Amino acid sequence: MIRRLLACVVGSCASLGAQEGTLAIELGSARVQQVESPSRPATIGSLRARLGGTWWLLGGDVTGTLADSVGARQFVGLASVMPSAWLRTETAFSSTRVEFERQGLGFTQSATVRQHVQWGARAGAWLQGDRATTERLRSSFLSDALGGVAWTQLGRVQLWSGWQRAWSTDGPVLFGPQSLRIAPGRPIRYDDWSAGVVAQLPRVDVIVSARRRDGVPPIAPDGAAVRTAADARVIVTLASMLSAEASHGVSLADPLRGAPEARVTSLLLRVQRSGRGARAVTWQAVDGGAEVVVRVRGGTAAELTGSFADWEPRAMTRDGRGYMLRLRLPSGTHRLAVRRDGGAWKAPDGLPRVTDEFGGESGLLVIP
Amino acid sequence: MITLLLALTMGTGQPDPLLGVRDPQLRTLAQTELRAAVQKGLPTAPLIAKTLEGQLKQAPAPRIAMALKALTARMELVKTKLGSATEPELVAGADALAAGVSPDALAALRRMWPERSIALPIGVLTELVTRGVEPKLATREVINLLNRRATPQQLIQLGYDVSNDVRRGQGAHAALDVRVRGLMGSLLPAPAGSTAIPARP
Repeated sequence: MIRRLLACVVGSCASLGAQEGTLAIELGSARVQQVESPSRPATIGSLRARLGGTWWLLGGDVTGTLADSVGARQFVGLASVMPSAWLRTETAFSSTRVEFERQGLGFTQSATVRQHVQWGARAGAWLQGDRATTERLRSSFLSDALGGVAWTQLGRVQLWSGWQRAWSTDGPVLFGPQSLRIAPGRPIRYDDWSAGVVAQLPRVDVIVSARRRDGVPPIAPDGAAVRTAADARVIVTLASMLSAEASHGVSLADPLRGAPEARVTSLLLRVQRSGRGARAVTWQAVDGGAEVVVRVRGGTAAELTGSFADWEPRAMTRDGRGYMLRLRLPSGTHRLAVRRDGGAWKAPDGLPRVTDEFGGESGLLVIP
Repeated sequence: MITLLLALTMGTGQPDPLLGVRDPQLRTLAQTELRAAVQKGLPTAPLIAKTLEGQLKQAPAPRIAMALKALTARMELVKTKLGSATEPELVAGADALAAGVSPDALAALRRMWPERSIALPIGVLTELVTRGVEPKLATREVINLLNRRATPQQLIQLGYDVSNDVRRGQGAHAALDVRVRGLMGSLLPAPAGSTAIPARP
């Protein structure tokens, strides 16, 4: 649950667009109420820093009181390789240490590989494989997961749908109504089907998602074979570098990691800015020129112009928390400029800056 | 006569190229500069684009007119240095001069590639100079690479790599040195008797 909870708290699971070149600091807290046992609610704090570019290092610190756990710490290392604007491979390693009040320490270490494929701002998909080692109550077992998500952007609405199968034949820990228990040698497998919608309004993103789980054997506390859950999240852009996020919903149990089902209510503040010199323009050579993708972060509107368009502004489309525009440019030298919220025209991040005769600047792009 | 030339250049019967210019004063000033360019045998499209850029950036009409005069002068100088020059070469050359590249460097590039467009090498040269490479050094390295038959794609990749290195905090000269050495290894030796400038030790 801690892994899942941190993911929900920081809201990174919905970030489908490219994440290159940002520095973000996220501060949040969540109130967690275990669903299946009458425990005291826990308050969980989260402080994470994310440095853009090729490597990210994430850390989380969770303290609180659940029925059986008193605290946990999680660290995640993630390498992201983006050979083109449409492909991104991520490899992550995470280590979670849980201190149980009665049962002592527990560890989960997992490795994840995720491959993203993106078709501009219109559609994309990713496939993910995950293997984890979990130690609980002096037992150690392996678990695996495989899943994927496909998404499409229709104007200001993004729709996504996903599936994940998780399994173990190693005798996993199950989190019962009151405490941990182990079922050695008992295979477990479950499928999660999920779907969601993201409404991207000028300053507000509203995200609603739902999940359905079929488990073998039945894993719900009441013995049912099917479990459903839903949550909602609202992200408000307060300024170009500052956003606030609130969420509420049910987080399904993670039986393979010994985490219970819980109601989660969280609040998060995110301070984010583009990394210095982040490359926001990527291109891929095609016959006679290149397909170019220009990205801008933050703001409530963004425009792109340049010599390619006789300096006529073109509106950029929403892409996650930023904006993007895909162009086909002929071979040669081009000058590009972007602006956010009707501000000054500037060179896109990462392009060499050329000052103009009007006190402004633009970016130089040479296309083979 | 000038009016006739301008009309021919812009295409009689075609939409007015300055149709997008809303300010009458700017329109008048721009037309004057366009006529001057036609008289000098220079293309008008770069000047029209500069006019629209100035308008977009809300520059005053006299300032835009000065920018047009400066652009015309730079294109004229490029044309003189390159002999015959295509419009992309004139535009790239004018940008290069504005960035600090010397006119003689453009002439040297032309001598290396007398029968091919040098718009892309000029663009890469401008990119390197804009990234902080000293113009003489950037010119020398680009000419050496052309002499060793580097392709436009290799040159553009060089500019891209150096830009990335500089963005990540490396010094511009050090980045260029490392990238050029890496590229040189995959290129042919300079032809005997060529005018290549020796690489730095």
